[in-house]
Amino acid sequence: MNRRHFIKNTSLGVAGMLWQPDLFAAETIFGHNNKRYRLNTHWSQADVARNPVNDCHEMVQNSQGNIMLLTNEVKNNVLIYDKGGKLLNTWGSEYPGAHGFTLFNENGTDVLFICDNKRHQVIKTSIDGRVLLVLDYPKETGQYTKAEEYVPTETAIAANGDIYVADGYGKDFIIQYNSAGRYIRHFGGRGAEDKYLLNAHGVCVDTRNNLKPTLIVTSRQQNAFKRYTMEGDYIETISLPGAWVCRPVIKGDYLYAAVLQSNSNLWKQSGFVTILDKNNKVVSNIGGSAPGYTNGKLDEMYQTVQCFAYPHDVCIDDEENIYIAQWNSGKVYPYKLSPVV
Amino acid sequence: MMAKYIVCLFLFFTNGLVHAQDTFRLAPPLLRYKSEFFSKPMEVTLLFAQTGTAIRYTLNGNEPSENDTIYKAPLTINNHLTTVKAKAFGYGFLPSETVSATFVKDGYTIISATPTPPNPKYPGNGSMALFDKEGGVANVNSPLWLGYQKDTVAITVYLQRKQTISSILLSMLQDHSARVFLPQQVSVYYFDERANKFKSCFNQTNPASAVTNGSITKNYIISLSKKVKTGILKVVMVPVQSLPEKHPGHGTPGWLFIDEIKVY
Repeated sequence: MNRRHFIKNTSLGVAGMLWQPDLFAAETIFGHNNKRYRLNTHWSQADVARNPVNDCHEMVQNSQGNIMLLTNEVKNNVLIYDKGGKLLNTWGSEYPGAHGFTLFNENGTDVLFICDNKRHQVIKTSIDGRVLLVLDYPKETGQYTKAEEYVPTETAIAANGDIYVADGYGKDFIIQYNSAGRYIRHFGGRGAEDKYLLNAHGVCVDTRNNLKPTLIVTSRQQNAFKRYTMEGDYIETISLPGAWVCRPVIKGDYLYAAVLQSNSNLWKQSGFVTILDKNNKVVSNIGGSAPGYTNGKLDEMYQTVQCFAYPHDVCIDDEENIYIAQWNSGKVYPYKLSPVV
Repeated sequence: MMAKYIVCLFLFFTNGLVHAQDTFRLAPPLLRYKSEFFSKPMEVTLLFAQTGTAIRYTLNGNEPSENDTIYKAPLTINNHLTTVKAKAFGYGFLPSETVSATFVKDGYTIISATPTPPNPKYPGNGSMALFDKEGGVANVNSPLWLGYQKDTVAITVYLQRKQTISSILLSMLQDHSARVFLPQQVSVYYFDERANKFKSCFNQTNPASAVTNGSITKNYIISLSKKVKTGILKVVMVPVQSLPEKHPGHGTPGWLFIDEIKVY
């Protein structure tokens, strides 16, 4: 507790103390090494009666600095907040399976890509929700006979506008299109070799090496990320033992990811958040075990503090705060983590 | 006075809103071991990499409290039916749930245990699955389980030599959300050489169980009221035929999962 808070609290007198039994609890700092945070579970000031959420699937920050949330609550599929948690606006009612949410700056204009896993479609919209492009199930791949087999969970957009769609709840292919939505190729899918995927839940363009961007794809049930060239050639596996990682999110030199749950405690709200440095070494787990390496191999990771239930995505803003969207977690609004400096 | 009151209220409000601290529960520590079955003394490891916390454990079956021993190094298990219970404690956190495992020492040597063919979805791991000293993994997806639904399960157990038998242990899984229940009926028959036929030595019907959460291994211990001398036993189990009323799958058949048999 810092001095200012102490003075404030003192002024409350006895009544305040009685009403706030947690006043003197140790302040919890989450995470490890240089990635440590304070947690605010009351960040959202949205009114649950007017603007409810269901699963909070993904979040992005737009060019105005505002935080956008995608939920499969069709009363308001997209909620737009300022960084302080004030709800500014909402839109969208036609995305019952709203899941993947990617923002791309297209020649100075923000555009959004929504993966709807009930509609079996990827929808490109303007920042205020006007539909610009719809990608149906990828017949061109020769891998699908009907829309239902295709359950897209995520998109990533390359600098040239190419669209990569992860069919994470379908057949685990990554399908590459040009910016106009014309099919280029597909890769991934399921199989025994390392280049294959199992629950390809997320995809991102790793721009940490500016000379040579690559793709990082989630293979969630294998507790791993897999790296590919932009043309879909497999490069390497980044093993994350114990962690059901969701999509990778790059910010600065770091890769952040929500971990839906721990392998050691399945379907018991055992999620946390993991942070990898530019060498893809885990440096911090928020609500999770202190990262350790034994003979160069990452030790199994697991939840240690039940501060999250099933985190599904992280959004890192321009001030290094992290917002956490959660799936199937009692319809909670996103939480916010502020860095401890 | 009024102004002061309003300021006070205002401060309380902002304070409550902005600085309310959540008190979080610790997650359970990880309990790691090769198998719940052992013949030589074996090691059990507990893991919980969270600064400012400690794992406390008991070996007497009691719920661990803040006064119990702090875990520092792997535990060595020597005794049959030792139960390790562990829990994480830390200042500023609510204590974790308890994790627990019971370790079972080998009984008489079994040379063969032939079960009714299991459901193809849960075939176990080979012909020695029921006496390979592997198992006790509280997870439906562990490949070590033999799974049955509806059909009566009969397992014929051949010991290395004739023995005087007082009890039998069946290692089973209970995971009600996955529809895995303990059997509704268990009977045991022993082969009487002189009469040249199987004779009943145990029969128990279990009442419908309360529906619980979580996946746990259960040692179903059969104590024979009268010791029998034999080299061959037959264990017959009836899976739950109709899930209890409180279960979402009420009326449909449950599963029975078994991975090991011990004879003492």
